[in-house]
Amino acid sequence: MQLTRPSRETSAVALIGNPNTGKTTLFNALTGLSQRVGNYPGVTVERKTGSVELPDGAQIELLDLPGTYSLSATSPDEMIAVDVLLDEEQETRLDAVIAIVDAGNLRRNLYLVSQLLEADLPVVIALNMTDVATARGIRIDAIRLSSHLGVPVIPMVAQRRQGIDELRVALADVLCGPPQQPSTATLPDDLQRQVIRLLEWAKTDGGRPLARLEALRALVDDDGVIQDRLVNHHGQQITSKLADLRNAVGVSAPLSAIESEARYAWVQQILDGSVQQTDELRSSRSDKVDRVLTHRLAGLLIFVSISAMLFQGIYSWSAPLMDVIEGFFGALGGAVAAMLPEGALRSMIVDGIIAGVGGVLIFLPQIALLFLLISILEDCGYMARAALLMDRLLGNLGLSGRSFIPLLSSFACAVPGVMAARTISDQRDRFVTILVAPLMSCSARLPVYVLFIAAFIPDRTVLGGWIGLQGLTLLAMYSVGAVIAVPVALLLRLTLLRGTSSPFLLELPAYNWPTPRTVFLRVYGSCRAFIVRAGSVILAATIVMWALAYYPRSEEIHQDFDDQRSAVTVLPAPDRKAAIQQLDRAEAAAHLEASLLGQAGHFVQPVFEPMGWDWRIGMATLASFPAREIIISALGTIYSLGGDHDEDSGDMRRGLKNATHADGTPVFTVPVALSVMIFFALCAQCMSTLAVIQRETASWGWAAFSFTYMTLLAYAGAFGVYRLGLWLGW
Amino acid sequence: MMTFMPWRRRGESSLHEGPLSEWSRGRDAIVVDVPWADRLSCRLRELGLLPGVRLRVLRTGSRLVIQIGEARLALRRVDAAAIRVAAADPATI
Repeated sequence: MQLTRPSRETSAVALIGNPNTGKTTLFNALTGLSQRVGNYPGVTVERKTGSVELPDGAQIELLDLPGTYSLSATSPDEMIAVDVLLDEEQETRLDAVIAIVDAGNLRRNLYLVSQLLEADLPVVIALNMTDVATARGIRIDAIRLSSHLGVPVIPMVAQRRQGIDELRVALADVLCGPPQQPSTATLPDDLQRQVIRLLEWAKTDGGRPLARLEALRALVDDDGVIQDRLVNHHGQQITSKLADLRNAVGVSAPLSAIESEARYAWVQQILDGSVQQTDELRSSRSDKVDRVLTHRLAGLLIFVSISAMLFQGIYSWSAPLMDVIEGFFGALGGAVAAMLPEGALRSMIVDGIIAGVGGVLIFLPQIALLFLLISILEDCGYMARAALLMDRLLGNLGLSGRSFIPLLSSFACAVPGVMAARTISDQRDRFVTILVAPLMSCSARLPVYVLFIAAFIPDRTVLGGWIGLQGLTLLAMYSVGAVIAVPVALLLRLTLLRGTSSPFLLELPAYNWPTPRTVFLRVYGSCRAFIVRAGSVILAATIVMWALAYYPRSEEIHQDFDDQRSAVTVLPAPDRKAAIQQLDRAEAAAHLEASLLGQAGHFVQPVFEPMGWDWRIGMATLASFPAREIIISALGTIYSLGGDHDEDSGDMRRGLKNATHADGTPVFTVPVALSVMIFFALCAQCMSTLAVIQRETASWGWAAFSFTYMTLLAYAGAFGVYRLGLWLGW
Repeated sequence: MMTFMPWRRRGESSLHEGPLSEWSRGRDAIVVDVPWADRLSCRLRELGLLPGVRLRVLRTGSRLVIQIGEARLALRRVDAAAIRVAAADPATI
């Protein structure tokens, strides 16, 4: 940064392009760690921005738009690009656009460019993946192409950071330079005339002037998103107005067909003389790989094996790292306990924060591993193949393969999963996907499973040593939500969200090696979000939980136990030590029973009884309404305060195993542990998910519906598993 | 009109012209007609599936994969039934 330079207002630039053109790679190369993820105002859509320094020292704000093939938006996701160009979001007044195009597939990529050039914004074209194009024998004369288009064209290979500096220079030039004179597609005169008539009508009778881009889309996309929006603004009268104007164009074909033909004719003119390529279709190595990976039998088998490996790997590979973190928090708790005098402060830090939040942070390695594996699969192009294979299954549920990625992302976290459903154009499809997405077992459930599996499921192999019983239980917990989602989706399709499944169309990108940077940034982002959550929501809930479990501190109980302690001092030394330890534990338990939490817990106990839970599990579950991981910290706090925590190792598993009812029987048996896991597999205990459902469906009703149906399912499931477990004598 | 030919396995038809859903794997075709009305065909047109364009079927079955230019698109067989294609190279008939 040059501080002497007179500061000028930062320019806003959007990055737009077809899916699979290396857009994310370019965005990461331009912005690096300066990127921030926020939301668009109004709709919750992940809004990725970052700052880029230009060669002249100016800083610009770069906005990453979702990949789109055309400005004729069919899904909420594609609508974002249109809105940003139209300046619907008042915050983002764009100064220029970077259009990234795949040099290997110029014809199709230039379709979107032809629409962008009509938006009255300076455009720079990033001609990406020129290396692949050259290898395929495509010869592109970038200078000619640029003069045909009337805007700068910068050849580049974003993955190898080639051409990035040239792009910065070009961007600085268009931001300060004279207005561009781009070539534009020649849409039929009759259509142009009606667009002008619509613009004039909007200015005079409509009450709100329209942008040219908006007017064109309203006319061409019959029943499209823009038309819906105009109806909201101008009332139903606009529908008949649009119909009149469409008729006045005087062609028999739908305007969308006229538009696509006109644009492709323009693309051909642009390509003539600037690009040499054969019309022959050439096979690629990806096609050979796909013969296997999309094979209807082999492909499915591979898909199932990859999924199984994913879960087994997450469980076993992260164990050593978890032990390290666990040891750290154990030592920290011990050190702090030794430093502080006994009292409320020490209790809050050791029993509340360290036992609680520390208990959640232990699972960081697993979160990192889950996101690592998922982003590798996504980045190399496999996910699209999996979506293709899953379309058949999802089609039977009235969904499409488009729902696969939202559902799969929900295995990491339902929040991005629900947001990813924006790529689904059919609204009912989208809603069904959103409503079942939280059933997919997200990473917040993972700590719950891992804790209970490690504590209560025996560590032995089954199926002839092929898989561990613990890994198998984890796989079962991951599957249960997905399996339950099937009847739920079917039922929704038959009742509240009736309709036929929407068509399925998906591009299969060429396979490529994952970009380490892209994968790293994704893993880094999710780990950061996890830590922030542990430090905010979970920390706050833990402190509240601790306070409820700590107060009121009854002097009577303390006095009573002190008397008993003095009574045992007459015993010989070895017995005395054991007796005092036992009394300390009993005192802690008595305090907990007498606490606010204990009193409330006994009150609600009958609700949890049928699932085999004691009041402590019940209260911890209630406390984990904001986020599922809280159950870990809440149980950690409760058992630490209740004296069950094993203070030597700080090991929570042992604390759970040692927990006993008043009559000395263990609180947790295998059926109880399974019942807790099933409950958490199916429940909707996550404020963020409910909030994102509300925002994405624009209704609290659907959020309330999700919460209700999932909680009922969770209760029924936990009850069933507990009873089954008892009956089988586990 | 489609005729039922049980002796001929799906995707092995040797039609000169027919629906994309019946086209055999690996055989190049030229698009003859893409329907107008629905959203899917609208999007297919925007993706470059226009009359006169060359394509190749890479996967048959309930879900097709077709190649147009350098792009590979997956779509359902039922949806592909509305798209008509003809043999690209008359000599191979």
